[in-house]
Amino acid sequence: MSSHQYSFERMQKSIRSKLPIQNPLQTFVHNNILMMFEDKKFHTALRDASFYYQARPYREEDFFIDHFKAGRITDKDIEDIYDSYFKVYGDIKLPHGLENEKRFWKKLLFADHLRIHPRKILTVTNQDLWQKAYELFTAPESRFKFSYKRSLRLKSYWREEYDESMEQYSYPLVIRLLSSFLDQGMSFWPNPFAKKGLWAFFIYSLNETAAMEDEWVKELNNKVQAYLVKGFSVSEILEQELLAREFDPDQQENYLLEILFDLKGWSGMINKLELEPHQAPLKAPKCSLEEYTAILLLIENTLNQHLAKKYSLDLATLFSQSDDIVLSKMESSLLIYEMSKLTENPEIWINQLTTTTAQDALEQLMIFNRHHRLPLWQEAYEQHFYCESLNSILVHQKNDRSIPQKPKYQLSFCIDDREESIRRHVEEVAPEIATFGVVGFFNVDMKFSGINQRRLVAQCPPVVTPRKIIREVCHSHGETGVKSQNSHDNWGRYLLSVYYNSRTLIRGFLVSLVLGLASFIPLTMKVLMPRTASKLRRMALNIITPVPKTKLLLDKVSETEGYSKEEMAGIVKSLFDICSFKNYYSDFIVMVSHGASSANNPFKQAYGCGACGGNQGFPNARAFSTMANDPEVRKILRTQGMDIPDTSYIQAAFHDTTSDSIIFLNEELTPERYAADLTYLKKVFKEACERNAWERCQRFNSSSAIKDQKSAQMHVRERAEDLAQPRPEYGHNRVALAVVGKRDLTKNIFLNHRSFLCTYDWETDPHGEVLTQVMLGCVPVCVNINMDYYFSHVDNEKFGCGSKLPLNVTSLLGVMTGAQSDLRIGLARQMVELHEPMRILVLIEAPRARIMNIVDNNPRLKKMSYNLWMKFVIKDPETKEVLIFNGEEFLPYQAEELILPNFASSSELIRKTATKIDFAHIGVSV
Amino acid sequence: MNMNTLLYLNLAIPFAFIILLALSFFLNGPLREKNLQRAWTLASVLIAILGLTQLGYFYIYQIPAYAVNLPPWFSYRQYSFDTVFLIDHLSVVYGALSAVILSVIIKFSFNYLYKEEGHFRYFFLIGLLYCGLILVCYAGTLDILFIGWELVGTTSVLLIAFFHQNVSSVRNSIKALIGYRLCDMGILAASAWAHHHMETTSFRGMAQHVYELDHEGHFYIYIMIGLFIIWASLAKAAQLPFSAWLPKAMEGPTPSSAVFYGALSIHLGPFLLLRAAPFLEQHWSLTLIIGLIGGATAMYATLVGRTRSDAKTMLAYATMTQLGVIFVEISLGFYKLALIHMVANASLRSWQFLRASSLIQDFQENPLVYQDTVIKRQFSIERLIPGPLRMRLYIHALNEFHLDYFTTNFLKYAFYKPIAQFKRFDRWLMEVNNKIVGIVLRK
Repeated sequence: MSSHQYSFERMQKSIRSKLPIQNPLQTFVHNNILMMFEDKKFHTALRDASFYYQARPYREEDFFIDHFKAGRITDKDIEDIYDSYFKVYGDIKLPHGLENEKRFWKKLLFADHLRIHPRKILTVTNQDLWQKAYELFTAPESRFKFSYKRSLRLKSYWREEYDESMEQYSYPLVIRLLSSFLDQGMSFWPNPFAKKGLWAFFIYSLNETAAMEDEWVKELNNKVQAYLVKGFSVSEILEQELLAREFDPDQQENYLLEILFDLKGWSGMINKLELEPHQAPLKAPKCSLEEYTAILLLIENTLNQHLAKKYSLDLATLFSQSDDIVLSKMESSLLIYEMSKLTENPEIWINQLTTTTAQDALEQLMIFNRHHRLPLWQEAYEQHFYCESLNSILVHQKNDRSIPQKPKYQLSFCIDDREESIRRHVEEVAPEIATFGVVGFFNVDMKFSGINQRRLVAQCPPVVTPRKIIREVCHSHGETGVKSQNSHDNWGRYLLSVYYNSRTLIRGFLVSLVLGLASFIPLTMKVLMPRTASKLRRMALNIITPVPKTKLLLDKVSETEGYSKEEMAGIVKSLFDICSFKNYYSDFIVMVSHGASSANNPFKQAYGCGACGGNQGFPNARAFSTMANDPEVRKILRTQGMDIPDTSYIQAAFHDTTSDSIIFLNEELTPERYAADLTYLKKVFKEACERNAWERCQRFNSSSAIKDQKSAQMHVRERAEDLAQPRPEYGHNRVALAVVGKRDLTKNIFLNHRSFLCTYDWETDPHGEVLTQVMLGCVPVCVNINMDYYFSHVDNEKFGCGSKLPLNVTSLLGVMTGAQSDLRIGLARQMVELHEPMRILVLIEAPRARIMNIVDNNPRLKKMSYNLWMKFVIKDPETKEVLIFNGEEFLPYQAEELILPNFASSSELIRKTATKIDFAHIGVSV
Repeated sequence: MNMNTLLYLNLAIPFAFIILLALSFFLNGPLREKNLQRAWTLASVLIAILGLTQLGYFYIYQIPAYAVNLPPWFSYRQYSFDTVFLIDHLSVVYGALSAVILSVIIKFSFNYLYKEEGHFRYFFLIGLLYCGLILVCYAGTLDILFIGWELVGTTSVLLIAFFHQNVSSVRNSIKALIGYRLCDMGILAASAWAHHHMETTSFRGMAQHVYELDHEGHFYIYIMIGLFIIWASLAKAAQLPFSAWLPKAMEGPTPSSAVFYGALSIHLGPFLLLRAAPFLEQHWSLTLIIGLIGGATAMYATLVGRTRSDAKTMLAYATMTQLGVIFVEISLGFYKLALIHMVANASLRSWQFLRASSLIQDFQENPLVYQDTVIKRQFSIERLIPGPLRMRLYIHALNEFHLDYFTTNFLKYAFYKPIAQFKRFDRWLMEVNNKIVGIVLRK
């Protein structure tokens, strides 16, 4: 055995890559849940993934049919995508005799009786035809084998035949082990096996408890003990258990994956903590996917044996069962009969069929239903939106889109789709302001440690590896700073002590008596009047734990901590290059970071700034403005040809996307002479935020009573503080566009916050260096967010984490549903319910050669564009063409004329349409 | 306005409200969400005001405890089903507690269950729960208490299975149902015996009859009735041996877990004991049993609870621990302390339940929690135990001391197997029957 490699060792790389990417919720950031499938074409990848996830990777058919009826998918859309779809996904051929009817599949799309879940009963009206169809089949039944993967487990067999659910046996045992083993500090009594590993814990626990457990656990224990007596290691046991069934290597991997995917969340977490232990909130225990797989496999095999014994069955025969689809003579002939009615000439088609060709036709029908029906609908659904958005943006180009040449203020926002609306509102309120969209970590790739959140968090997109550690410290090093720090630590100690002690016996008795009666106050206040309660709480906390004035330690301390002045200059230059200020710097430049605030929400990170790893973006804005204001940095910049005048000040600000407020950071550092600017901008922000809140309120149904922007502002503030609110905001719902280009592309057009907006000026960047940065920073983040929402939306139970209401925080790592379940993955239903599931349309305004040079040289971008994980569109300013990438080549897009509605302002649009439309001109003189 | 009017209003309003809701459902289907919220806002404000007014009235005017005797429901010979309601510390305090917590939970649920499928069902069941609670609260006889007791149990089971598409929710709700049913028999039995031997089931009457029973040499009947009442209180309060269902009951929406297992339903166990205290306290053996059960449960729950690592079951065990302590307090005769402890525990636990989802954020924002830190826990008893033994204790505590295994097996051998025997007997009878019929037919 020594010479040959263990199966698990051989397979583990491939297995690990397929498991869901499961981050602890504290570091949660949006990921394309199927990132590891990106090297396949989109629909093929979804087909494969749906097998492991046991999920439906598209919306149900009725969803699309309803859209068709409502005109949201048109005949033209289907026509548009029909040929190109089958060109890419051509593993289907037209039934014999129909080779000339190219549109046959389209007819099937609408055939109610031939759907995956037919809504009509098949009936016979044409006796003649029916007779012929019936005579085609001689055998009493036809069998169909498919090339798709079939389940190697017996789980569904036990459930269907004997009503035995394997979960009911195994879940309590496994989940109890895992939740306790991985616990980061929730339980009072820490798990004593954290250092010894999962396997040691499993064996000890099994041996200790088997006597008082069900019969199958005793069998499991006997089996394990027998192995241990022989001195087998974990790898050897795993190998032995795998050999129990005769698999070829490919099947082995699939079998293990299927077992691991049964508890996909926990499997993903074990995998994550083994590979990246620093991602753990506190300290990762000694995880090993191999040990974990061995445990699951042992349980699986024991259960199979146990159940086989219970029902006196032979396992070998069960394993060799096939799951071909079997159709009776009657069913087959009815299907052929119905298919024939869709052809142009039924009689002729049926007459030329033989038994084999008829069977073949049925097989093609089943392939179509299984693999192509929903993808076709999906493509058509997307096509409709793509055309609408491209047409709208292109038609808008003919209008005047006045951009101030010498703006009074320059504001950089994050590319986030939620900032689309606030930028529009700011520009409407104060036309002399120019706004820019940059990836919201402002190129400051740091690990940040705040004074209250000392955990090092990566404040940069997940595709970037942070270079430096930056710490926040109290501004005054003197006594006040120390005192304030101590008060925070003491408060933290008090909270922890209440948390643990309120749950024990004797201390719990005292705590519940003392704090119990007092807890009526927060209980009633926080629920009945959330805003007042939070205000009071903040006031009280300000007294107990005064917030100190802090600063960031930016200067270089060591190799890993702090930036040198040259590095700072590099960061500032690269960011201002993206904004392409064209060497005009207004006196007051503001970097607006963003983040979200919500109460009682385990998914806080999913609402934050995606470019800052889901955290709030303000440390980056602070760091950037400090760097950019540093005279030494500016001196270096001058030598590099970037002359920021001494009169320009760079200010940091923070936009809370939930409660819609923009505050300035470190105002006390701002020189006196900018006081007027601060006051003016505060006024602008206040107005813009109110309007933005009003626009956002249109999405909340409960806000029908909200008649104006003032009440809207109050409403969103309450949402941010409300313990009971499962939807503090709607995050990236409905995001479907990413526009990389100059602001004039999208200025004065209403995009209903569906679009990422990324600034890029193709004219100032002849070599494409800036474009490389922009595309690498922005496109993967956009696709990740879009795909995360896509999957969580289409099958919320399997790709997402179901309803938020029964969620139960466990081990400080994730959430379960109810008392015991798999660790849930993805986003909750309440977070994605308004989403429109489609791949993102990425529109880049730059010369084609320049873009493709970048795409071809970056593996991830290449995969995403060539394998159609996004719709890639280039607006080539040199040839004035709009080109759509279809995975192989660029096809010119012919924009259609359409008349966009025009509104004087966004507020008018909100009042008149309640944002029911997606595109409109704002304030354009026609 | 006097105490009695308040009492009648307190009883009538929730029932009237629920009946209206039900009627509107039968006529028009579920109410629109906005209308349901309006109706519930009105009702919950009324309920809270009534509950608090009664509490204030009772303590400000220092009203002595008394019973409201209404004409009996019906009577037959010497048996009579009395309609008695009690106004005393216990009923007034628990009534006010229920009213306040219910109103808070209702307000919480408006946003929490917004747009959720089945929200009408949820709000209806919560209303029914309150009807049950208020009946239990003011009931002066075992019979009336039983009606409320059943309502609370039924709504509890139905709300555990609120997400009935989850198999585990339904399975766990059945576990709770079995526990409840077994213990409900306690009240039924106690009430039947009391009717038979004392011709009353009113709590005051029963306490007065103990002397007579003793005198007539029927003392064992007193002990039996007492045991049945204690038995009845166990499942609701998740005391040993009926503890296994509680941690599994965390399947419903969070506010329903809070109102049932943090606050109101679970404290009905000690409530029943307090209610029957004048009766139970007359013999040391009964109070000793209460104390032993409570003590054992407290030890059990605190050991298991400290190994839990998920927010909700951890809270379930914390509640159970304090309930054990409350049982001990009752057995020692500290009734006032027990009542205060109940109120405090109910409030603290519902607050903790409602905020259960904040834990990740709480730890994230705590300045003491960061990478590679060890969170210091205060000293605790289990560290006194030597290493290997402590490890074993940990494993068994983690496995809840196999309580589920033991109770399931007990049920299997005590009920399922005998019933299966009956089934076999039944099949045998059928066969015999068929044979006879066959013979008859042949002839």
